[in-house]
Amino acid sequence: MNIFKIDQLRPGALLKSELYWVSGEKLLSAGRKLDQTDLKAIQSRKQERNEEEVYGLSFEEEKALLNQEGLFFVPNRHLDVDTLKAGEQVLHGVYDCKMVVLWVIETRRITLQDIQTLARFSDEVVQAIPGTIFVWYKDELKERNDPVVKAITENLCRIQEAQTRVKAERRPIKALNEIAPKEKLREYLQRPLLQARTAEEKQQVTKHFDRSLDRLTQTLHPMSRATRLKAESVLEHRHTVEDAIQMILRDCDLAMNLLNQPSDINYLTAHAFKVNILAIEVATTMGLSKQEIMNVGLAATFQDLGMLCLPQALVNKPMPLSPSELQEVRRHPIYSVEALEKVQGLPRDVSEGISQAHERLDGSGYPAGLSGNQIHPLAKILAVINVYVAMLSARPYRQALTTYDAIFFLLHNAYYNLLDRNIVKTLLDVLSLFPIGTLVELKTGEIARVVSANEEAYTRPVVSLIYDANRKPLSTSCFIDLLHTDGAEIVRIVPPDEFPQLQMDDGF
Amino acid sequence: MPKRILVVDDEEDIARAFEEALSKAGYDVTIATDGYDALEKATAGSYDLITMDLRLPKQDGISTVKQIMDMVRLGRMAKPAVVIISGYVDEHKLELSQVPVRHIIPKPVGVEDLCKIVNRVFEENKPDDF
Repeated sequence: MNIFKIDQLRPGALLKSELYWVSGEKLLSAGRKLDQTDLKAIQSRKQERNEEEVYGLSFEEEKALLNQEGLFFVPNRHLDVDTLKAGEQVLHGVYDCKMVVLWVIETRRITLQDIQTLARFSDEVVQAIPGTIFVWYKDELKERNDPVVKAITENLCRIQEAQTRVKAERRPIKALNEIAPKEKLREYLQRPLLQARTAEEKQQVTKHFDRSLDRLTQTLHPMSRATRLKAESVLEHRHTVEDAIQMILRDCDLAMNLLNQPSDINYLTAHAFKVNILAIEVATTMGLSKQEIMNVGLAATFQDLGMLCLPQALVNKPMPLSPSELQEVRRHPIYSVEALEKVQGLPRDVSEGISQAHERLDGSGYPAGLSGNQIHPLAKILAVINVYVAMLSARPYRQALTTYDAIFFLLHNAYYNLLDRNIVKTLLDVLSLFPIGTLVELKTGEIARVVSANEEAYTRPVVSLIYDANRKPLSTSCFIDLLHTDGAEIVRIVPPDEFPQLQMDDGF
Repeated sequence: MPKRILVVDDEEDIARAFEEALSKAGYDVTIATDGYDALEKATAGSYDLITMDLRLPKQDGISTVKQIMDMVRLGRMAKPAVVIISGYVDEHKLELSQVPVRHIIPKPVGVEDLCKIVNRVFEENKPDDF
């Protein structure tokens, strides 16, 4: 594939490539001699759309791209539409017709309406580029540009993106307090970068981890008195959430890796921390505003305060709960909200998020049995993330699930209308099926760490090589984008104890 | 009970055309339009047959088929019949040979042919009548 600047095209030149606009529309076919009219049309388009470059694809490349969409049709029959009569049958198939390709999706018997449609088609076709695909389905006979445009554009964009991603540099970050509360934070998310982080950058993230855990432990420790939440601690937690948001905007992938960090802190603190990070990440990706993201972070922080009001023996019981015990545990969202009632300045969205995080879309949740859109959108986000994070943790009454199993559990819940499928989808976009931080083995035998998700390909994330095929450590960092690298594939997840000498953030 | 079919194709017109034809033929049809959709519905929805386009947003068809097979192997779901309908088959020949797929049909396929193939798949599976 070549890129030409429009100014390079000269009259009389014989086109050797199929020419496409960067936007994906076909410009000219190969084999044609450029004349003045062509050039005038191209120039005016250049002015209109501000497009300076065109792509030249060889016949094979074009065929490969169109094949991808199942769009490379070789017509095997000719159809003379001008002589068709009402009542005649046209078999389904792909026809060569007036220099274009006509795909008749269903066998049809020609009606008078069809004759009219065909007359319009004959007129249109005069101006079409030879080889364009037209589709005839029910009453519509139209040019099948969209998938072609889509196929070409997506592929061209992908190639461009792959190149920019490698060369990208970190942009300076805007401070969180300079961003208005109603602004969406999605555009401030730094595009994941394929370069190794400095020791300093890793340390900053670890410091945040330690600080947050400290603050959360003070509030969520079983020995603390949850019923008397002081205004100062709320302010500290607000700062923690702001720090988390800033950290995620600066380097979301390294932040995600914190989900894998082991530590011997109590379950509630670990849960609150992890839900915080994921909820902020998902909310940002979904395009929520800074205020909404702050609220979801605060809700994640305080949602389990109510658990501290329950007897610890109940919370840690290793066996199934009796119906009355279950009923008591299910009151904890109410207790959490009560603990926060005396605190001034907490937005109502936060308490609604907390009290409704265990509601389910089909009304089977608790405490109020709300359903569908009765449930606060922030609560819907917390619901999904709570389930995911809980599945990955070992509990007194069951073992931890693998990430694979946890995700399939979420998919099941989405299908049966318990959890919101858009949120589950966004979680997959953000995590991929091999969550960030997972150690994997590639087809080539190399061992790598997943360092960034590709939302267009859950099984082809970006990985960073750690050991070569002979298990020798690499001396420099090497990032591979599995989506854009042919033949590169993950064959298995490597359990961390196969390489106990590795640090959590090796590879980043 | 009508057999349940999941049609996976990111082009809505094509998916709808398949759905209509297969519904008329007496099947209970659902559509999925991207890799996430296909993954969610295929693993949770107990379909008897899945028609899969290979190139999909979010996750390609082959990865989705592999995950379905994983779930079957783990005993989480019954094995559906999988029919691949795609123009992209040559490029994936090696991968396709490793997944147990019933039929591979290059696009474009007419809806009558599709119905014939689907009917045949279910015929082949019919238990003996005593």
